[in-house]
Amino acid sequence: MFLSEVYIYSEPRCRSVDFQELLSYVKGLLPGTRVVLVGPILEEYINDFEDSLRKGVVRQLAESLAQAKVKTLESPVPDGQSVIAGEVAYEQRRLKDRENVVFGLIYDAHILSALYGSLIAATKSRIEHLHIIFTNQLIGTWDMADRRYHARTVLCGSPSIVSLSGITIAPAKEAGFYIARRSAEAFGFAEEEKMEVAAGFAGDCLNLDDPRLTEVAKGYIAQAVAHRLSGDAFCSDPDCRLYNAHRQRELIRAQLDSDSEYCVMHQELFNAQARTNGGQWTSDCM
Amino acid sequence: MPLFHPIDEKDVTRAIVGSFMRQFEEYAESDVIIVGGGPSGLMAGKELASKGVKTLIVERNNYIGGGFWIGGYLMNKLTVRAPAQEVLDELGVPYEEAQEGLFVADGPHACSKLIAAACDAGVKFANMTIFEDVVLREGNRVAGVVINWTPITSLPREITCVDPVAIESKIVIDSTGHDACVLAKLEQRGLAKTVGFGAMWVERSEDLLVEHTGEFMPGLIVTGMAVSTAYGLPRMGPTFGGMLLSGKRGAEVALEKLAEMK
Repeated sequence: MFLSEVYIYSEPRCRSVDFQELLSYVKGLLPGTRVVLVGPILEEYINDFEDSLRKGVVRQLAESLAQAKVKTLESPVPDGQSVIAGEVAYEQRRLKDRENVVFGLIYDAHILSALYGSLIAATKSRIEHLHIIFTNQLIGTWDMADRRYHARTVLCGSPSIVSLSGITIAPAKEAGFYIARRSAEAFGFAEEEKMEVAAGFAGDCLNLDDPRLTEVAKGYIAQAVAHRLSGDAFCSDPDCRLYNAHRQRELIRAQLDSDSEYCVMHQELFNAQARTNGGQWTSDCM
Repeated sequence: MPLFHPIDEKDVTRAIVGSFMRQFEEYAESDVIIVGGGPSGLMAGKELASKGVKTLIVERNNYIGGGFWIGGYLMNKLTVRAPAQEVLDELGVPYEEAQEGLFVADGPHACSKLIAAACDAGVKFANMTIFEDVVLREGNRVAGVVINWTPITSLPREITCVDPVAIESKIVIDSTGHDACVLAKLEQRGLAKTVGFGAMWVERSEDLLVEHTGEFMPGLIVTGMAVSTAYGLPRMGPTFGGMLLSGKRGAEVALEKLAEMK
C-alpha cells in the first residue's frame, strides 16, 4: 500500500504531549511522505463555518458525539442511539470551551471513527492518505466473544484514533492497584480516599500528566501507519513498538525500555515505504 | 422562685402549630424546592437562600445532612480534594491537609456547619416529609412536588390512606442521591429517561458529576449523586467534594433559570 500523506490531529487538552515532536518523528519514520500537523479535528471542522452557522454545527456535532457514548459496558451502542438533553449539553460545553478538560466517558470507537471520517474533506480522504486523530476521550470496542466493551488505546482504520487517556487506562495496571481500590470500596471509603489508596500501588504506570506520553504516542502512530501499509497494526515481538500491550508494564517495555524501536520485519516495512517515496522529506504544519 | 417562666401546655401547642402553619402556608409556594437534604441539596439551598431566593428543602428523614455526618467504615472523618476545601473555608470548618490537595475534616463539625449555614441563609425545611410525585404544568414543566408525612410509608395501608398535598415552586432540584426519586417518578410516568449507572472511567466520575450538574428538563435541576443516575456516570462511594461543588453548580443554574423567568 502506498502512503503519500499523513495527517496528525492534535489534542491540546492533553498538555503533556509534544505534537511537534511527533511530527518530526513521523517525518523521520516516513521520509518522502508528506506529514501534516493539524489542530483538533472537531474544532478545525467547526472553525471552517461562518459564525452564523457555527451554533447549529456545534449542536449537530454534540448530538452525534452523545450518540456515540457507551452507556453500559454490557451492550453495544445501537444505531441512532437516543440521547437526552443534558448529554448533548455536556458535549456542547466541551466543544465550545477549549479549556474544558472534564472527560472520562467511553465512546464507541467505530461510531466515533465514522463521525470523524465524515468531517474530513473528500480531497484529503484518498486511499493513500492516513489520518491519525488524537483524543483525550476514552474509546472502546464491542467484543462479540465476551459481549462487552473493552477500552482501547488505538483504533486503526480510516481515520485512526489514538486515545491518550486510553494509553493510561486500557492496558491493565499491576494487580495491587485493583486490589487496593476494591478494598477501599469495600470499606466504603470516599472517592478521594480510594484514589489515594490506589495511587500508592499504581507503580510504574503512565498517567495523563506523564512527560513520557509523547514517546509512547510515537509507537501508537507507528501502529496506525503499519496497519495502513500492511493491514496489520501489531507485532508479536514484545520489544517492538508495534506490540499490542495489554498491560502497562508491557507497554512501557515496548515503547520506552526496548533497545531497538522495531523488529527487523517492521523496520523493513517502514524502510520500504521510504524507498517507495524516494526518501524525500516533505512536511507541513497547518 | 421557678427558673422558667410559667406556660400552659396549650400555649406550647399553639406556639408550635402557629409557627409551623405560618411557615407551611408561606412555603406552599416557593421559588425553589429542593428534594433531599444531603450535602449537595444543603449546599444548593444555602447558595440560593443567600441570594434571597425563597428555598424549601424537603427531607424524608428527621435529621438533615444525609451521609455528610460520617465517612467510610463509620469513621466520622470526611475527605475532600482541592478545590473543595474552599467550601470548607466558606463554612468555617476546620480541616487538616492530609497531603497536597487532600483535606480531612470532622464529619459532625462539617455537617452541622453546613446545616447552620443553610439555616442562616434562610433555607426552610420540611423534614420527616416524603416526596411522592411532581406537579406538572404546560409542556411538562416541573412546577412543584407532592408530599406526605414520612411515617405514612411505614404503616399498614388500611390506616394510611392519607392523601398527600402539593406545594409549588418555579424550580425543583432533585438532590435525592442515587435513588434520584424525582427523576424516577418522571421516568415511571414516561416523561423522562435516565441512563442509569454507566460505563465510564471511575476515577474521573467526580469531575463528570459536577460537569453534568444542571437542568435535566424544564423546571428540574439535578445535583449530587442523582446526576450519576441521570446521565449514566459511574456509581461511586461518597465524594463529598463533588457533592458540595455539584450543589454550588446546581444553585448557579437555578439562579440563571430564575433570572430568565423574570
